[in-house]
Amino acid sequence: MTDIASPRTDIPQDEPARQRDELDAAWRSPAGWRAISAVNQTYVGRRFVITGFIYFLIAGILGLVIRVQLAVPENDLLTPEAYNQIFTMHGTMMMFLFAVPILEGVAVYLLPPMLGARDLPFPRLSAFGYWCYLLGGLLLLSSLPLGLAPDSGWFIYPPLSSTLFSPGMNVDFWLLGITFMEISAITASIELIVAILKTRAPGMSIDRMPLFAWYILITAFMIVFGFPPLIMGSILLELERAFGLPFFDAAKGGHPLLWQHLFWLFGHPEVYIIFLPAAGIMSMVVPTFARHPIVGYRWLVLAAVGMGFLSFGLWVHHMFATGIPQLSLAFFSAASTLVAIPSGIQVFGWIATLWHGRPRFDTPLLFAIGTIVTFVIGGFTGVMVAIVPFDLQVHDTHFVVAHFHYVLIGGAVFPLFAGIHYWMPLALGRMPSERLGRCSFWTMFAGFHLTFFPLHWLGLIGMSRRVYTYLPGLNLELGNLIATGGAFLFALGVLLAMVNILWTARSGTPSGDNPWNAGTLEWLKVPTPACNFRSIPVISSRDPMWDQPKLSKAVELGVGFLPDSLGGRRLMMGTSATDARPEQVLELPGPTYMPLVAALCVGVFFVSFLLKLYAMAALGGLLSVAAFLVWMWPTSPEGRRGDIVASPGTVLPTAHGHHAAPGSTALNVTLAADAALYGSLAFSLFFLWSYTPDRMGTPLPSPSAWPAVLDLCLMLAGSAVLAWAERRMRAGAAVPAMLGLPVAMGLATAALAHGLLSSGHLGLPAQEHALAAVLWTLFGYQAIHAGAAVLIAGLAAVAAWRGHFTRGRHLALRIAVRFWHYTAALWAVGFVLVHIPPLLG
Amino acid sequence: MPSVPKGSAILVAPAILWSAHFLFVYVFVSLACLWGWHEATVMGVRVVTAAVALATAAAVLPIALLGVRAWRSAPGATADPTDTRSRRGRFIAQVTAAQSALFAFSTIMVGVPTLMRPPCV
Ligand code: HEM
Ligand SMILES: [Cu+2]
Repeated sequence: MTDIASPRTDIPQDEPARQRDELDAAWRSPAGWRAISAVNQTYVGRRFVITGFIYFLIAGILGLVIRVQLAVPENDLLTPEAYNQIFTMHGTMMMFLFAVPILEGVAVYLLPPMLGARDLPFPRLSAFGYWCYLLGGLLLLSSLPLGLAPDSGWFIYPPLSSTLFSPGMNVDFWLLGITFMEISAITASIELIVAILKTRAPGMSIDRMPLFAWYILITAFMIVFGFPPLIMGSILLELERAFGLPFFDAAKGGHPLLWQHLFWLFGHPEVYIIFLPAAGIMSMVVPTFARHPIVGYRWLVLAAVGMGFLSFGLWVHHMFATGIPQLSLAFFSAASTLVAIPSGIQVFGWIATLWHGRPRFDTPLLFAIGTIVTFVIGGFTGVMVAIVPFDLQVHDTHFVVAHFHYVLIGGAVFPLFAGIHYWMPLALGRMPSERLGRCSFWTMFAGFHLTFFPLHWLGLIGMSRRVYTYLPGLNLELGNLIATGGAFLFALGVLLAMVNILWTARSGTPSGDNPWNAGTLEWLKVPTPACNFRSIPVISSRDPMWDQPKLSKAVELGVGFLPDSLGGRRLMMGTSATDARPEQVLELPGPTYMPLVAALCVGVFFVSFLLKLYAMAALGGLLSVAAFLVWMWPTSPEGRRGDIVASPGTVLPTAHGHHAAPGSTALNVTLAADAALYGSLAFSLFFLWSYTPDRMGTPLPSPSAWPAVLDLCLMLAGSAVLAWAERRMRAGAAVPAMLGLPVAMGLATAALAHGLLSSGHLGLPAQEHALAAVLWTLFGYQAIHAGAAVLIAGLAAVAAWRGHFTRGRHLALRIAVRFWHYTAALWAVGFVLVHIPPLLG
Repeated sequence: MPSVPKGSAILVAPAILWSAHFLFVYVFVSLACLWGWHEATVMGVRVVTAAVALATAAAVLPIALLGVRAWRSAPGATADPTDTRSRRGRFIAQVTAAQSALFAFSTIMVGVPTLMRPPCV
């Protein structure tokens, strides 16, 4: 490459100052209301955390209302209907709008500085995710003042949630709001995975990664595979409610248990999706305040990976009371107890670190110890509930309510508050008040145990959950009164913590760099500059702040990678996944309104769907597609390619259009999530198929295969053409791509048109039978993917015709081709799914 | 010098084998119970029992092998902070070995109860 842009070597006196000013200008975001166009990780992370905290407060107030209602027997503060809405909204908001997003927000905020990066690799994607989260949450929340809040429990089991028993819009608010905001969970995990694997500071090989990054990496993968079943379940239930596709309707071959499977396939991992990032926070707080490196780093990595996998084996344990065969129960019960092993290792790691260190009991450590105590009790009752006969005894009583609040508050809320107090100096540049901190910890801790400990006892003597009141004279009065008092004490503790935050922001003493004497990189410079690092340091230790004393000075002087922004470009390092060897230089986009616009368009779709304005919803869908096309429209590579001198002696290629750019990894992760979504649909097909009583004498006219064979061949032909075009491109010939892309688009369009025209071949109309409904959904799924493949190929074609592709740089083509192959594979699998079972049956 | 694993993906291999085993046992046994194959026997052995036993062996063996190999191949400890390669190699090898132990045990814990009880009660 010829156009090597290098920092000047003849450094004049004012050079460092110029570099610093330019870096600052390059990374700064606009002020005032224009700040909503900011996409920097600091901004997006802070928005996530603040929004999540507000949702937490609202859901917490609902929790208090529940406790007030239950304070005395036969209370008539709430009607049974209102009670149902309130506990459903409380649970739903806590699980979906608070716990997962706020922890993701913490990760978005902390990971880049912790890993030695200047930002996340796809800033616009995280901004888009945030807007989806905000809008989806508001959509769900708006049901509350309208008195239309969902009311069938946070896992909305059908048939209770079917149109028959819930004719109003309540359940639709749940399904659409949650699905809308789940977009953010998926986008954030793609973002975080790629950030952790590809943007660590040079030298930070995986065995030097902060544990927090390990936990987030595993959590993000769990989201990628764990959320799709829920999203698919929600889509199916909404299709049933909106268009009468009978997936869960037993009278038409559906089965309500299908929802329970899909929900808990997500729901159990969900508990660990909440717990793992919180454990990541713990693993940062404990060593700092123990003043000792974490003991058993390897064991903790082992535990995190172990929990990540084992927790997927547990879904059926929530259905012990549904009468599935004993045998399945036996091994699910085994898996439930197995997960105790890594959880135990985990807790021992923290205790051992405290044991070996010289702990200083500041507020963050108090919260951390509160976590350990509470979580251990919750884990203990969890093992009790995992024992099948015991579960049958306490199922649906307040014993279970006590158990999961111990796990959730012990496993997520206390660690979160530990993290808030720990990182407050980083976010605000000032030290929190230790006195207020201690007060709020002890109030929260005492309040929590007063609230939930009595519930164990109340549950054992038979108080049911989700019932709006209870009778006097059953020995339930005292326990309930204590619990309600405790809840207010807990709320007071939260309030004190908030006062502390406000006080710190206004009048805390400035903290200076690394006030807690922590070991990790995020503390290098407080307050953190807009670019996070004046230059990207080289890491040679797990605790660089402890073991590399000259680091801070070096970064200050611009020693390391990319001290120069080369005239205001947002540059950062791309490194290899295992060893963090420098590979490329990424150039990131600056502030833009595009993510907000795209999220609003998606919002039009969801709101119109909720209001049953389907034409409008279709319009919203088209608008969203248009927004994405504008967003992704190929821009000139002028000046963004070539090589850069990243540090004296290291010349790296820029990532733009490069086949190893982070976009390639991101596509793989996205396809994995998509495959999990498709897998959930395939699972539904098998599930319903195996339950159809007259499966043997198939009552369904079996779909005829020939039209589908033709369509499949067209898609596969497209794949072949593109594979050839890509091979030629790698040899430097652009013309095959210029021609091949439009040809493939034509083939897919023909397949789509023919498929739609002949879709009668699927047999019964979708409303008649659940199996037919699944087949139609499969077909729709494939059709949407073919449409997307055409659009993506179209974007690549534009780039090809404009001459953007070169031998070594044609990422858009690669992405289009890989997506195409994936789509063709979907069509092939779909063909087998649709046309082979009838032959067997 | 013993061969250092290049990537870090090997670290999750035992867990993936465990998942495959788990999924197989779950799907197979559920379908068998649903459709009444569980009465079927081949040469006096219940089909379900035989299949689960085979699957368990087929999963535990490679997990164990992987673990032993990883353990043996771990490079010795190094004090040199610039020797990234062998330090990282040691890390991956040790974590892989520990994963193998955890997931070999887990696979057995999932497989054995299925063998001990009459299926589909
Ligand atoms: C201020 C603190 C809290 C109080 C006083 C509280 C109180 C309660 C009570 C009394 C119930 C049972 C209602 C019933 O079944 O009749 C409940 C349910 C629930 N809570 Fe909390 N809670 C609090 C915090 C949390 C947190 C932090 C989370 C999660 C992170 C959470 C998640 C849930 C869930 C998932 C349910 C089940 C809802 C359902 O049955 O559908 N709660 N809460
Ligand atoms: Cu569970």
